Amino acid sequence: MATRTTNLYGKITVTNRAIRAVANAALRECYGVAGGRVSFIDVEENKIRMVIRLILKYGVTPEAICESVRSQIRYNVENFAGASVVELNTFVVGIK
Amino acid sequence: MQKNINGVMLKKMISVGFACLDEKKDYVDSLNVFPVPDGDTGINMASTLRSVIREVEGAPSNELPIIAQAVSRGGLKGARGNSGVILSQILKGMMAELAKPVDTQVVGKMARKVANAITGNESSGKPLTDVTTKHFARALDNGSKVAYSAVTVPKEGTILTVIRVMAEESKKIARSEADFVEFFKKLLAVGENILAQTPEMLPVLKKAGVVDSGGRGLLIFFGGMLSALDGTIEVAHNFESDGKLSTGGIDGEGIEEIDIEFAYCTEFNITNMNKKTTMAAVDMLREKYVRMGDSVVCVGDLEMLKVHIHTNDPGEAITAALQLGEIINLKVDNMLQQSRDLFAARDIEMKDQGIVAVAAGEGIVTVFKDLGVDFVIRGGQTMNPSAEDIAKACDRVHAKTVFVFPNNKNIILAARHAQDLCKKNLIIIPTKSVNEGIAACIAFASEASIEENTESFHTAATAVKSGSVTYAVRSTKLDRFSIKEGEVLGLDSKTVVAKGANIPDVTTKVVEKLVDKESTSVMLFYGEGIKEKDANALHDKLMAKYPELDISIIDGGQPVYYYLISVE
Repeated sequence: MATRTTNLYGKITVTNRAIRAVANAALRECYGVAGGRVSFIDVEENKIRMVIRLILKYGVTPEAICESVRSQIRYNVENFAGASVVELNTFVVGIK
Repeated sequence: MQKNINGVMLKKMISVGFACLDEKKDYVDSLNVFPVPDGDTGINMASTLRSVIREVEGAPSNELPIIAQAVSRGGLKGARGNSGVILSQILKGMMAELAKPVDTQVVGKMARKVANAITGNESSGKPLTDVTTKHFARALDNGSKVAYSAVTVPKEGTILTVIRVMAEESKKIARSEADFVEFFKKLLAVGENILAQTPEMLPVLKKAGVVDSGGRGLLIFFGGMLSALDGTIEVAHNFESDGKLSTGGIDGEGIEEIDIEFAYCTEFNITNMNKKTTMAAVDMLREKYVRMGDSVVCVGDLEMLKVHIHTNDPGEAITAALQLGEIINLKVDNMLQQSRDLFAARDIEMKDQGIVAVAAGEGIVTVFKDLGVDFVIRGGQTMNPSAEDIAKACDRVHAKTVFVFPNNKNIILAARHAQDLCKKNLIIIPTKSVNEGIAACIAFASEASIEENTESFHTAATAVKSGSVTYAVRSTKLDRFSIKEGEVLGLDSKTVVAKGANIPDVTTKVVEKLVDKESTSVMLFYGEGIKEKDANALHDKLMAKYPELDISIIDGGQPVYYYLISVE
C-alpha cells in the first residue's frame, strides 16, 4: 500500500513506511510530546488514515497537545506525500 | 516609581496584556507560518489568556499567591493550539516562582497554603506579597525553563527563543533597574531585537518574509503588561518590520444589502507547471480552494489547469497556485462592487415600459436585442425557463411595467406564474413562437401607452403566420403523416404540413402553405447546423419563386429548428 501520483517525469509512489517515518519525525518535534509513534497506517486511493500513540510531557493540556499534534503531523505528511490525511487518531498512552 | 508589584497589579497587568493581544490577534494570525501555516496563533493565544482572565476574576482574593495560582490554572485549563500551550507553560513557570514563599512578608494562612501547593514545598517561610524586578526576572527564567522542558526537540526562532532570551537578559536588567516601568521597557526592547532575528533562525519564516507569530503575540502581551504599569493603556506597536503575509479578507462594512459571502471572483490558468508538480498536488490545491471559498473549478492536466473560485482572499488563492506553476489569464472581479453598481444603476432611472423575451440561438437573441428588448432569457422548446427565471429577469429590467414574450406555448404558463413572483407590473403577451415575438417587438413604440402597446402587440402577433422546420425525434403518426425517426418535418403554427428527407424542399413546402395572396414578406431564420451557403441557396430559390415577396434570411443560430419562418 502506498500513495501514487504522476508528474512530468513519471510515476511517484510513496510507501506507507516512508509516510510513517515522516509522521514520526514530525511527532518528535511537537511541543508537549515526550515520545510516541505511528502505530497504524492505511492508505487507500491516496487517502491516508493513521493512528498515533503518544506519551505526553507532564503538566501540559492533553486536549490541546493532541490537537496540535494532529495538525502538525497532517501538515507535514500532506506536504511530503502529496495526499490527504483523512483520519488521524491520537491515543495518549503515557505521561513522562 | 513602581518598585513592587502585588496581586492586584499582577491581575491588572494580565488583563491589559490580554486586551492588547485580543485586539491584535488577527494581525498575529496573519504572521502564522510555523509549525503549520493555518493562521490561528493569535486567536489561540488570546483564547488561552481569556481562560486565564476568567480564572483570575473568580479568584477568592487578590493576594499574590492566589492570583498567581489562578493564572497558572486558567492557562492550563484553556490552553489552545501550539502557541497557547507554550504560553500557558510560560505563565505556569513564572507564577510558580512568583508564589514562592519568602521569610520577610506577612500574609494570610490561605495564601501560604496555596503557595506551598504550587511550589510543592512544605516551606515554613511565608509567601511574598510584593515582587521586585529581580523576582520578576527569576520568574521569567523559570517560565522559560518550564516552557522548554515540555518539548523534546526545541525549535529555535520561535516563541521559545523569544522568552528564553528575554529571561536571560532580564536578570542583567534587573540588577540595575528597580523600577518596573523601565525594566519592562528594556525587556521589550530585548524582545523586539530577538524577534527581528527569528527569520534568520527558522528558514520557513525567512521564506515567508515574516517574524515568528507566537513571539510577536508574546511581545504584544508583555507590551500590554507595560501599559498597565505606566498607565498608558494604548500601546503603540510598530509592526512594519514584521513583514506581511496576507491582506486579510473584507470587513463587513457596506455589504449589508448585498448577500455575497465571497467577494472576489478569481479566475486564471496555471501553465508551465513545475516539473515536480504532481496530479496529487492538483487535488490538494482543489481541496484547499474548497476550504477557502465556493464555486470552485480546478480542472485540467499537467499541461494546463483552469481555476475559478469565489473567495475573500484572491491573493491566497494565487499564492497557492504559484506553488504549482506559472499563472496566466488572471482576472479578479470584485463582485460586491459589481453588485453595488447594479443597485446604483437601478436607482438612476426607471423606464415606463420594458420588454423581456424568451429565445434561444445567438442570432435570434441579437435580433430581439436590436428590436429593443431589455433582457433575453435563454430558453425555448427544449429548455423552458421557470417562472422564477422569468420573474428574476423582469426584476433586472429598469422599468415599471414589463412586457413578457414567452415565444413558446409551453412557457406562457410559467410567464403567468411569474406575475405573482415579481413585484413589477408584468404583462404577458402570449406569443407562441419566436416569429410572433419578433413581429410583436417590431410593433413596440416606447412613447405609446401601455394599453396601446398591448393592443398592437396582440395584433402583430396574430397577424404573423409562423412555420418551422425540424426533425422527428421518434417514429409516429401525426396529422395524417406517418413519420419516421430522423425525418425532416415542416410545421405551421399547429400542425405538420410537410415532411421529407431534404431540408430545403420541406422548407419550401412550408413557405408554400403559409404564403397567400395577402402576404407581403417572408422572414427565415436558419438554425444551428445549417450552413450559410445552403441558406443563401434556399433564399435565391425562394426569391425566384416569389418575386413579388420581400424575402429575408437571418442567421438565427437557434437549436432544434433548422428554419423558423415568419410570413406577413
